Amino acid sequence: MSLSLKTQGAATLRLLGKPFGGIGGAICGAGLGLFIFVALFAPLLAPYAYDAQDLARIGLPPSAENWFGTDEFGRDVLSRVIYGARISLSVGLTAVALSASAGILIGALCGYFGGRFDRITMAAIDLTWCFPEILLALVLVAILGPGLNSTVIAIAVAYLAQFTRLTRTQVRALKGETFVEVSRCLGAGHAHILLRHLLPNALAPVIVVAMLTTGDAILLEATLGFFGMGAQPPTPSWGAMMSSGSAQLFNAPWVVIIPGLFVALSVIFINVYGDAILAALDVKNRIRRA
Amino acid sequence: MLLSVENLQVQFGRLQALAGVSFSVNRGEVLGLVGESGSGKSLSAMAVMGLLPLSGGRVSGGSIHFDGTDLGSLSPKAYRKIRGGKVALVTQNPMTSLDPVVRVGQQIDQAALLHLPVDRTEAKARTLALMDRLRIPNAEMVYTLYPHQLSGGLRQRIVIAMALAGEPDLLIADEPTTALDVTVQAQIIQLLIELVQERDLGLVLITHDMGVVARTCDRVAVMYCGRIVETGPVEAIFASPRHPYTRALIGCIPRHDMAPGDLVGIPGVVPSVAAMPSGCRFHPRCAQAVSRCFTEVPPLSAAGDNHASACFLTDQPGEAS
Amino acid sequence: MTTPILSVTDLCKTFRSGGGLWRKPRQFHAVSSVSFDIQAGETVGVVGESGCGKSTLARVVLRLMEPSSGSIRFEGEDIAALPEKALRPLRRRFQMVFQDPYSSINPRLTIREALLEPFRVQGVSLTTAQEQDTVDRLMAMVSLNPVLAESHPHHLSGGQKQRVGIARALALQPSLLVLDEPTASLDVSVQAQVIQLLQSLRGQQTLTYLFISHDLALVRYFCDRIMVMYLGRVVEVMPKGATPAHPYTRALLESSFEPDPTQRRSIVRITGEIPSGYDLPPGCAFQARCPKAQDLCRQTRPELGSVGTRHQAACHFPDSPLPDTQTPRSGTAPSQETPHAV
Repeated sequence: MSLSLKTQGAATLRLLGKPFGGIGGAICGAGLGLFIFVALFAPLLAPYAYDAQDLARIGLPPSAENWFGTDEFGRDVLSRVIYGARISLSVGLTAVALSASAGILIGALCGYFGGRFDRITMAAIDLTWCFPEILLALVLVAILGPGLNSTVIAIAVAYLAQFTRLTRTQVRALKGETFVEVSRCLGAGHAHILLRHLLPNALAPVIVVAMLTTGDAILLEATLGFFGMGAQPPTPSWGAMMSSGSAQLFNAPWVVIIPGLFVALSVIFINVYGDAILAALDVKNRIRRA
Repeated sequence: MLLSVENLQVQFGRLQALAGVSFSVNRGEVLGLVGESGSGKSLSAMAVMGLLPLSGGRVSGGSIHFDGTDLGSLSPKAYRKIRGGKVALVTQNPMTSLDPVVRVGQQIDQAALLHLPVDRTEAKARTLALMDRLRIPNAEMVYTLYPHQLSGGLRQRIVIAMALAGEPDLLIADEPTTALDVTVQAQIIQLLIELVQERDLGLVLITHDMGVVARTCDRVAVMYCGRIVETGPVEAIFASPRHPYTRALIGCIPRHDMAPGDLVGIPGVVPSVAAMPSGCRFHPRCAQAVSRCFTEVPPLSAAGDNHASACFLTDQPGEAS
Repeated sequence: MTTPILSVTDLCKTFRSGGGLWRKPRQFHAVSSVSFDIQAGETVGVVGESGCGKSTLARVVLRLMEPSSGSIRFEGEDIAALPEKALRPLRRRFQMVFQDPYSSINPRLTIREALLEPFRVQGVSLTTAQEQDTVDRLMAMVSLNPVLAESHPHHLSGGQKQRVGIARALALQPSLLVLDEPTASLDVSVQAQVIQLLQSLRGQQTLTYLFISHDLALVRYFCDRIMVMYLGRVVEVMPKGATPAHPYTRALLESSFEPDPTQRRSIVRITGEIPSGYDLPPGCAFQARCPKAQDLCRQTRPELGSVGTRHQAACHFPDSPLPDTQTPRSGTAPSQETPHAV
């Protein structure tokens, strides 16, 4: 008993330390925190307004006044990258939150009730897996009309299948556990079983996947922006900045490279940090099974 | 002596899991190694098989002699010859000890090919003969099946066949029937006994069930918390158990002549390796414990013919409950 | 006799499996025409090996599975066809303890929360003080240290978890408790503790037990009456202490080893294993393994018939302490010595 208690304590320490434990995880967590901070306080941090054009200063390389240079309209790239963080991160997070919530709901219902409802719903959901995410999102945005809201919806639909599948599998596995049968035997209704027993035990892996998907979602948003399907000018999104700057790629490469760098960095930060959390949660699962 | 284990000590890191365990088996003899889970009986088997390093343990004292050879002095290569060849293990769960993607017949062949100078045809012939001997119906047909196509009892027979294929002298069976239905358990136990007599094998039967011990064993070693607490011939152990733990274990098995309330368990739980009680390790669960039991370790002392018990109160033999 | 607390008549549970567009699904008769009564305060044991339908029977009786046909009267009320919603409030009166204590408590809940779940589910509102009292009372009832109430299940041993399972099942003071192999995943020493606990609980309050087990010796020790099941059917019903009349029950008895070395190495006569429950042949389901099977057994299925006081067996040639039952009870069987050879 006391041995298991001791290892328990050690494991809990490891669990708490894990997200900050690995040096990579720590750096990426901090980087991600910085990005979120910058996005939140963009108006305070940006040296210029994101849409302030200065036709006298078109396409200038990085300098003391414009750390990241200026773009083809003479706008400050640093300010636009800072404001762009708002769009990219919020679109990514909102889309994933939407996708995960819908996926958890549908997946839990399918997994719990099964039967014909499950078969038909899952067949429809699986259809979305037949297309590459980017193609699916492009088609959806084309139908809904370009803009931020359609981008969010398109990205959410693109990732819906994976969240639904994952939740459904988890719920189906948990449904066979004795404590669920115990609850039924006590006279519990479906809502009680789903909310109190199934979902709390099913969510951990879904949350980790949501975390990792946010990176992909930011990338997808940038891609849609690059195709001109996302945020409309002059709203700065990293993808749209790369797109509009691509005409001047050889004259003013920083206009493309710098937002691209931030897309890459945010994806890396989220993935490494997500992995660190995944590892930490795995420890927790092992304790639970022991 | 075919196998003789002397004062065996096993450590995991700084934790001592076996604190001086001694037992021995002769040819044609069945030794029952009994105790609750966590008493160290499976660990003793692992040590004899030389499989401790797999789980991070090591032998830190004592000796294991098999047929005159000190197993501790063997090279890993020489040990491999003994393991599975001269000493074979039958495990508890037949599902996990069989390879799910290889036909069961071929798995038995493999064991023979590894340890005997035979070719494939001969190995197959031996396998079929062995399967017949183990009363596996339609041996030719079963030979070609995969483990998942077999019932639990047949699977356990296959595992036994694999153990016997290398013509071992010693069989270690670790709870070989725990996962089986009662009527099948009885058949497997009977089969093991027949094999011991026919082939003059030594058998170490690891179990927690005193009922199985009474039915099968010649001698018994009762283990608790990494020590042998009582050892002796089966008749003596059941007729006049000396150690309170032995009495308690016997009292856990229902008998037809028990009155309601006679079936008493053992209060408390087996302590973990990291928190071993001082003195006699059974004292926190023992109703008879006196102050001496809290501080001193009772030595294994003679209590009759080949009968020894590690209890300060051994002088007063108890009734079999 | 008063109304039985539980009265089961002709209960059947059939599972379908396989089958496709053109293939007929195969039927698995998990429970076939099982009938029995349990009086209040009685402890009835159901014994059999894996696949005999004993766990399915427990679940169907408690409506955790839907019966295929038959009636289940609980305290006079037929619950077999009751819609689930109407059944829920009744559930507090019949509870179950499950085989696997390791997965029977939600790993995210504390023991305290697990013990209070019955009240939550049944809509019994408790004040904080009442909650504390209830938890203390339940923990004391099953002899658990009250300190454990705030722990999570992974801190508890199997035996402790099973005590929690028992306390939770008894929280709402049911009159019937179904015990589905409550000790099968525990060490023998812990099994005895749990049985002792169940016995003392039976002494303290009026409890009726339906005890499911694979261990005939344990059932003979713990139960007043024993039903033996084989392939979905009850093959023998006997009072505690009776000598078994059905060859299968005899085989079970021979296979359960008592701690008595004078029985050492006595021969076990039973051979073979339980056949699959699909597509059963006509005749007695046990005939393939029965040492005394005859043509009659292969053709006609024996029905449960009386072989003694409160003692029934479904066998054409029951063993019995009564001398005149060596001859077939029904039909025209060839007259010959009862073969005892293997």
